[in-house]
Amino acid sequence: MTATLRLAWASTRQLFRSREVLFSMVVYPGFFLVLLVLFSRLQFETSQGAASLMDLWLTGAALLVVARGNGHAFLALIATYKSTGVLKRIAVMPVSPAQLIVAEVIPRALMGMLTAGVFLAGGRALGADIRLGPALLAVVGLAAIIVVTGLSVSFVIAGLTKSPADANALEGYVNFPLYLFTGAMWPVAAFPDWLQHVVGLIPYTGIIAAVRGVALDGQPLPAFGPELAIAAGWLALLFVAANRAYRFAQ
Amino acid sequence: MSVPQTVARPEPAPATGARAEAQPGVPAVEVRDLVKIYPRPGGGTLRAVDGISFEVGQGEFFGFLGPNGAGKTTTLEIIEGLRRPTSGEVRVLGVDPRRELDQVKRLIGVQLQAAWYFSLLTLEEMLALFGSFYPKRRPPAELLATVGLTDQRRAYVRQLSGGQQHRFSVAAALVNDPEVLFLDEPTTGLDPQMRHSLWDLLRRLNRDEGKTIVLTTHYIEEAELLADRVAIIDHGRIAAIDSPRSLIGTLDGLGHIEFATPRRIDNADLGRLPGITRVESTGNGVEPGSAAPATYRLAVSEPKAAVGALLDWSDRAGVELRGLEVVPGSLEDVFLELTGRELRD
Repeated sequence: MTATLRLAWASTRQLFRSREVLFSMVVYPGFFLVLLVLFSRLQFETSQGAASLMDLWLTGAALLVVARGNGHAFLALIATYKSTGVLKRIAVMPVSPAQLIVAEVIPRALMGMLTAGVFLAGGRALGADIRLGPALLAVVGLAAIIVVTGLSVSFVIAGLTKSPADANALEGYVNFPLYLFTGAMWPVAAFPDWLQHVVGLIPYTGIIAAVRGVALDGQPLPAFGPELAIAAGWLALLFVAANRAYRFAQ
Repeated sequence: MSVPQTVARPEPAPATGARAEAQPGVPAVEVRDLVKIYPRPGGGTLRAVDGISFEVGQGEFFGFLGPNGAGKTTTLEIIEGLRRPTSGEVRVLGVDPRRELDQVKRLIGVQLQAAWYFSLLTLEEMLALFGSFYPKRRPPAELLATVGLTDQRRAYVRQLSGGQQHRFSVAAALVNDPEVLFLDEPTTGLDPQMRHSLWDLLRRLNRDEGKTIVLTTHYIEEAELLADRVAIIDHGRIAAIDSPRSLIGTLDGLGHIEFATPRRIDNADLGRLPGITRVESTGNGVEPGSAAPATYRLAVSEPKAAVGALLDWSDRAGVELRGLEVVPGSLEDVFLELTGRELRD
């Protein structure tokens, strides 16, 4: 555990010495808040009623991007660790790949939670129908699941590919369904019934539904037990896959 | 020609649980019948390591000499626990890396052929981090002083020169004050001055601190100067193991004659002289007899007879030999003799 915390502290140091923090905590949230204000009058009409783009994206696509931080930079970083021998260097020491993964995830999960909280509060100040207080705390917790899920996907991608360029290309294919079919960009209710059942199995779908239910409708978090169970199952599966894929071993 | 081959060794001691220190009398490294087979893309297999056996004693400076692709790095990485062998046995100070990998990792220090580091940690932060993973560790300041990088302690690795990066790699391999130090081509890509500086450091670590060092290299000079014993490896097999002096001694007088001439000589004339086995020259393609200076390197099996014959021939032919020099055999000649090819092939 001590080695993991020391690695996490080293990761935090590097994070705050890089531009990643600037992009993750200032540039991306600021960009999305400006974008959402510009399109604040845009609404989606579904069979279940109207939803404003601002509310929908603030708790969907924008939240995914903001909580995950500078995801491309992170993927490039860990893919570079693998291709340039940092992972090999770690492998000759008494440290496991799982410890390295957890150490990289800890500071980014904390940063994602903080950024998501500030981002949603900023959205509320700019006119979004977001609930603050306990609901915000619950959403910040859900943001942590988003971050860890996203980072685990990145570790799997970096583990399966041979270079940062390959990793970047594969990430494009993986993110496509995660953003388009999870309700992040438009309401799941707008999909055909059969598709709604399918997309419910995608990692982020349940989390986004829970975020919206809590932050927009004031529902209690336990009401989303099945959705969170699917998300937790994915999280466990992806962490195991990341641990198996992202290592130097031949 | 007969060369000393690997001899049968006693059965390695079985692993007996966690040990933090080297056991007296136990070899630093024992390798028996090691094989590593990789699948080739498109079918077939490659025997990267093909049944090699050797031992390295505690405090010894042991060199692996061979060309790229000979199996040096694969062998080293199996010993370090980075790769699993297809078959065979490995012990490091009596410990089996397959069964007690973390124990082996605590006993060894590894300098990798190409390893980058965390890009935004300073040298001293990185050494402190790496050292924190081990129960026994050396202070970063001491390590940086050992490798002459004290002034760069707050620099990032990318801000160092090539030679400084290699020295830092050695420092990183020493964080746990290891019993056995593995160095994979530590001076590749360095200029001669930096190479000599690193050699001095490695000699100090071996002689003054008593570290067992296992080094791979494709530099003849490096193996000759540093290693107590050298294993000549090619195509995954060890062709010979012995001290550089003994290996060269097996050449039975092999060596070279080197000289220059003011005009081109026909190589065939030289090749017909007794005791000369091969002729290399500059200025190929120039008509023999042309007034074009050239240099010659003659591989000889009997230097004394060859020199006599060459001097007689030059008198008869009226050829002036400039800078005539008899060069004794080297590990490169041993490698050529054993494998039929040059290290740079």
